[in-house]
Amino acid sequence: MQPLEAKVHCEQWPESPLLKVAGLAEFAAGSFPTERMLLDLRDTQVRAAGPAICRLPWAGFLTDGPKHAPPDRPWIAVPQGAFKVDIGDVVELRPHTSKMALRYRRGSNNNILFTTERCNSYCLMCSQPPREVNDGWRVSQLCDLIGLIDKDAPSLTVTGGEPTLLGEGLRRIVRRCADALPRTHLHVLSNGRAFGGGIPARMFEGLHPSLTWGIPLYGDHYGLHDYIVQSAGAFSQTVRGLYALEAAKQHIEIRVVLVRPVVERLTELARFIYRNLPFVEHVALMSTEPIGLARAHYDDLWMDPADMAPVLAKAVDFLSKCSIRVSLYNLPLCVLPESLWAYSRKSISDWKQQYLPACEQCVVKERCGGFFAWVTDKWTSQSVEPVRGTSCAKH
Amino acid sequence: MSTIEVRLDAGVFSVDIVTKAAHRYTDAYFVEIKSSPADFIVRLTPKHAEGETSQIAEHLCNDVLDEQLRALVRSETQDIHAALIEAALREALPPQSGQGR
Amino acid sequence: MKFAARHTFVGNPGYRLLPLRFRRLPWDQGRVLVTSMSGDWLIVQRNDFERAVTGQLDPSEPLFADMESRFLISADPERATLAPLLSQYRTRKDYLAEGPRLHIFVVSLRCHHTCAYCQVSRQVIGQTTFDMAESTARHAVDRLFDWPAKTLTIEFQGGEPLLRFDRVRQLTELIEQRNRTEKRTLRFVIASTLHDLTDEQLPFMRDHGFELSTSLDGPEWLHNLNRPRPERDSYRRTVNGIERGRRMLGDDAVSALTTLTRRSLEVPKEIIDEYRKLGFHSISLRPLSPYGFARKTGARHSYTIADFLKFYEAALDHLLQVNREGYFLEETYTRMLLSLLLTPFSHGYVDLRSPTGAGLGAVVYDYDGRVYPSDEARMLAAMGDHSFALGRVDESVETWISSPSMQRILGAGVAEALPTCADCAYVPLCGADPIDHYARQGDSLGHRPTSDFCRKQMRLFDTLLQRWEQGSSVDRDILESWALRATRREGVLEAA
Repeated sequence: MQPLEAKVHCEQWPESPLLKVAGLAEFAAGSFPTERMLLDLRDTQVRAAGPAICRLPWAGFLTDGPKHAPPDRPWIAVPQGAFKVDIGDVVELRPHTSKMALRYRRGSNNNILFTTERCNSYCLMCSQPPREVNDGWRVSQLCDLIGLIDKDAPSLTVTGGEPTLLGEGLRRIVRRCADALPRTHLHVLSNGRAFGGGIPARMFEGLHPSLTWGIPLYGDHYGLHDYIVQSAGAFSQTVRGLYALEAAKQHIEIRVVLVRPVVERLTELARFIYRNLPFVEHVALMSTEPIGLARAHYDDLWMDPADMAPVLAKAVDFLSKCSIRVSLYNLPLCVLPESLWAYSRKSISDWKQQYLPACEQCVVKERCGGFFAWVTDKWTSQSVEPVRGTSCAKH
Repeated sequence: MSTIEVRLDAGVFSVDIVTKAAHRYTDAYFVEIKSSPADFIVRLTPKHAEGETSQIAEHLCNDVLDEQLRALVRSETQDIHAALIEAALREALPPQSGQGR
Repeated sequence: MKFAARHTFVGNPGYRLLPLRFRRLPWDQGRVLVTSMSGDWLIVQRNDFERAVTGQLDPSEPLFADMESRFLISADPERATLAPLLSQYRTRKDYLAEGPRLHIFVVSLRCHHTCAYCQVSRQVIGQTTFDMAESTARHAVDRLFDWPAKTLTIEFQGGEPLLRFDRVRQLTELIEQRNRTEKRTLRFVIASTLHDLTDEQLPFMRDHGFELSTSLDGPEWLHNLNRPRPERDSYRRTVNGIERGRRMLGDDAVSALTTLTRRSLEVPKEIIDEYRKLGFHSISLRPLSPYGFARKTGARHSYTIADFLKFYEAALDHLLQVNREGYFLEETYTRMLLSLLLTPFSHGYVDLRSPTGAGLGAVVYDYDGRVYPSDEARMLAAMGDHSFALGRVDESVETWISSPSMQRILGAGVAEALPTCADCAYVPLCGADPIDHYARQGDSLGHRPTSDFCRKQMRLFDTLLQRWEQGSSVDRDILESWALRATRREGVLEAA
């Protein structure tokens, strides 16, 4: 697992900026203001360019140590092995605590825009337990960050907490992405409840060229859904929110975390989605991330994914027949029947992903998404084992 | 052609229910209903020689029981039915034709 | 943070019934089909259903959730939402939103054939008084664009429309020219025998994206028997037309329908095999209706709905077998009924709708300038009964809508309001056909126990539901593949 934050050595920083790590290419392209860039002196090409380049008004320098930075200029040195940061990344420096955090990683499969720690649901398996804090300041910081993200970044995920709690702030962020990153797909993870009353979904109509909403639904009736999200009235709000988003011509994905009570009614949920929400463009069936609140509810939630196979197969088959795209997330191939492998995606963010020692022998390891870095034995299927051979020559 | 007679307790079933149930048989049978305070006598006479009579009495009784359930459902849902349809169509009605889109 | 147990999310105890209807399964009297207001459904044991209706269900039962999720019951109103039920209902009825999409232009009554069952009362070749005049054509085009539908299907019919292809060409060009400003989506269909297709007609049809709909009654001997031409070679000419049509416009652009005569009913397998032989993937098995010459020659050629239903069962068996062998072949009406049972969507056919499709879903512009809400109404008029004529092409659309004919249609055109239909479990999926009931029973409201329309519909729904419910998984897959597959064929109804 790769840490996203580390203690660093730094000096001469007057404030806590967001900085774009830059090399020669970034300098030449001129996509970002030099004053926002951190010139990476660890890079051989940059060093080969000679001392003249350092005289430009860079925000500061990224070095191996204090001696390598030009005198009287701000610098940062990352201790050996602490933290991976490269050209193209965006970092946030907090000089008063000497900490640096990664806010955007070039080339990563899951860069996020973290909007708030607040949430209006309290899901039993929440991987990001909410906190009641006033973090409205994030909106401006995100708008700033968006300005430093590569124009060719394929996608960004807007997440939290619950992004719609920002109200107009969310609209600002989406608008900023539309302006600064028109070629970047934006996927917003939200429970959609606010659109069931409170926020008009139409404020997002036509706002962004490539925007999708990922909205969880856990049951075909309120008793189950409200229990999972620990919030009375949530189902009703989310469902009404889905209709409001559809009326605002939004693209919608339904996300289902495969905790045991949900799996027990999964085929009914699939039927419910088809009958009532046929405009849904994608359904993501996701194995639980064993972190956060999930850990406290193991007994209520855990189901060995291998035992889910028949129900998964039925749900996937049904949704596919109805022409609704389906994907399986966070499930290693060995716990799935081969007929479902085509639906499995490598979904775990690179920085929190790992393979187990058993995987070394597995012939389909490259295709498999592996495991969460924080998986423990009790959150691992009994059926994990390397695949020795497959029935299809292609694989 | 034999006429089937079915006796139904008037204390349990209303005339509407018996009539509705019996109405279903008017394709293949001539239907006659005689009512008294105690009961209804429903007489079914097959219209054609090949009329199926073997389980007609049982079927009619089933239908009467079903009509009773229907009456119960109707009494409970009549109002919300109208309200739901009105709510649904309020947004779905077409624009006046010929006056542009 | 304290977490609440599942039972605390039930809310206020108890539940209420939502509008629902039910029907005992003919093949299992101990179970009932229960349908919601929008046509979602559940099959339940009758005694469980009775418990549900009398308020005895327990929230912890799976049946409770099953009925809740289909909007047959509703629990705590503070926590439940009926928005999906409304959405389902609107989706089912969404054809109402835009007014008629199907517009039939009868360019000529003339035809080569002398089919005994002909619904059209065709005239002999050579009499141009039975062709659509230019002024009529121009008025009809104006009226066409007075309707609001964003997609317009224009279907040319006759007689044999190819006999007045110049009029077909002119109408197409007028419509497309006008559409440059209107910007609707247009679909052109021609219902024709495809006999004597000329080298001039085919390229025109290709250039304007025409779809061809023709009649193919079955193997050569049956087709020629049903469709006499003086030359006795109707089949050969039809097949020739199909081949030429496919070559010029693509396989997907050519479809065929049968008309079933009494003789046809004896040979369901042969008819289906003929369609397979000619490479069709869609067949339409339509029973005769009591119009046109069919009524006059009734006794000799007619058959009962019971006869048709027997034929249908055999045909369905054979279709399933063909599909099991790996050849995809669907029947269009079956597909429509299955889509009603298995999907939440409305379908494109005008003939099974409530409110009725007559006038609301389709308009017919006759050769003589009279306008009708459906083909059936036109046929009645040809037999002397103008009860359902809407008016003339030179009148306004508003006049038609407010005409006594339209009022008569609407008065009997909502199945949910008709006696017996109102309580039927299938009514959310079914339709009203006031004109058909008028033609068969003399009264647009109709009497359901003796109604052929009702008998046919109920039996077909029952049959398909039973086949789906009790069929092997292979058969279920086949039935679902018909229902769930997207199709271009909606709205194409008639062929010469």
